[in-house]
Amino acid sequence: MASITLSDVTVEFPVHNASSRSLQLHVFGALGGKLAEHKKAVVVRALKRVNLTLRDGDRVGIIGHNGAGKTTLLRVLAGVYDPSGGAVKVDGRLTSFADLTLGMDLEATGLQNIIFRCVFMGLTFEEARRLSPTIQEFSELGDFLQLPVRTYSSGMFLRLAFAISTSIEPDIIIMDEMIGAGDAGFIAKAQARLSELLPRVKILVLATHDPTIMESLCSKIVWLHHGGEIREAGPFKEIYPKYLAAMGN
Amino acid sequence: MPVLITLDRYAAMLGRSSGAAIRDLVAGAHRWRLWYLIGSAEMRRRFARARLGQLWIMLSSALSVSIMGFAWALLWKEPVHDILPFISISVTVWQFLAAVLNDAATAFPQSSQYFLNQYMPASTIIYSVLYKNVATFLLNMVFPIFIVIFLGDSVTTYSLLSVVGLSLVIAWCLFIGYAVAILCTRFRDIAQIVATVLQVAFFVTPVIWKPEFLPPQAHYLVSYNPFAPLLAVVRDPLLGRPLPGGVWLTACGIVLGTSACVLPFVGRFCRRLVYWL
Repeated sequence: MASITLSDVTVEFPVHNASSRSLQLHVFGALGGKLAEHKKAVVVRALKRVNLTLRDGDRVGIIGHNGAGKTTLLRVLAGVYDPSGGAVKVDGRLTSFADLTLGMDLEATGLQNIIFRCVFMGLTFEEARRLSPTIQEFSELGDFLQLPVRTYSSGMFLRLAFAISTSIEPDIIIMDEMIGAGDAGFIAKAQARLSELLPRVKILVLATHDPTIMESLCSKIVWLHHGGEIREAGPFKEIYPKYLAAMGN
Repeated sequence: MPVLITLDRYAAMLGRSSGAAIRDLVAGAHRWRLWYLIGSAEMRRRFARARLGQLWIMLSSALSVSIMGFAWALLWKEPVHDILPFISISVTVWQFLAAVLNDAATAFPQSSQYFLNQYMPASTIIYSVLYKNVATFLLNMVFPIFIVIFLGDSVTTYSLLSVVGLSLVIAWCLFIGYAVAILCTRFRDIAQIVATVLQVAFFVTPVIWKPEFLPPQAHYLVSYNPFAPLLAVVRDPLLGRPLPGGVWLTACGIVLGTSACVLPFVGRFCRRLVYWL
């Protein structure tokens, strides 16, 4: 059973510009110099007292305008940010599709990269080697897999990254914008793979601006607004029209 | 009484932070597959399209070390067979120390994509820096060891003590490297300071000169220099130079002292530093 519980999660970013990053100014500040105008640390609040409980079967869309805290919320779920207040509890194997190429190395061959990417997603070398043939087949890259990835076109590179990343079935998937890959011929195949994988995972959290994708994948909505507060959360059918109406104004 | 209570609280806080640091170090060690991959990718990038690949590391360091050995033999008016083994080993160990600290200074900003896209214990990157540099060091050591066998005294079981010495140095690098990496992420200009300090330390540490060359009134350069004992515990056993127990104790003390200072610091900031990337 997979679950995610956020209780009173607050995330605040310290804003370090060149001046507060500089040790020199800190020293002068301590000495009573006038340069130290940064004493009042500037803090941007990205999430404010967010409470959220997700269970098996939840398909959650995160909506809100730019800067509402969508990406921050996804990163908190992925364990990237340790919140400055509140607690996060995640049960289950979690995969974040924020960067499909994480762990891949342009100087290494396609075959090596299959292993690397799998290991970055939490597999052992042995498990990665066992999975490799199916990934090779799905990627349709054939003999190119023997070549360093830097020789690939960007479409081929993405296709490989997609093939690897979607070949592992976690309990929880987190996506910032819908993923896809490659040329026209591969798009259909990629979509087929996704529509097979996404319904199988226990919890899906997705942030997107695309209403059709949202409608086809999500049954629940979390609506964030300025300052990272949850404005409303609930079933898709109930919240989404309100959101659209609010955005229309 | 209030002072005692404050001290007590302070101690409790230090304990909590150190606990967090140790958990982070253990969690990072468990991700050996990741730091092995990150470290090897880094090495691959350096030599990817070079025909001789990793062999370049050995060749270039062998060349620089032997030219240095001959030049300093003339300068110090010492026989080559005496000074060349000394310098080749010292310089190689020093290059390792300097490379770890310089790499640590840029470690987190350079690998921000790993930290911003999925959870990874921060120590994973420190381990990858260590792994990469230990591998490079071992390759670099082939030539100096060859020199020692060829020119120096016979290699005995006493030489094996430098493996113990090397472990001490690696442990020290783990702690000091982690602290430097965190500081340099928060204050981006410390990287420059680290590079400068290392440059100066190279000349005031017995790397290209022997401690016995120093006039007695300048002996503080060795006595109060933390790099001196750390260098000595790797170098001197290999050269068959006798090493007083006091030097071993000092080296152990430096490692323990550094870890005691660094662990609470690391524990406090190892989850925080993602916000600074």
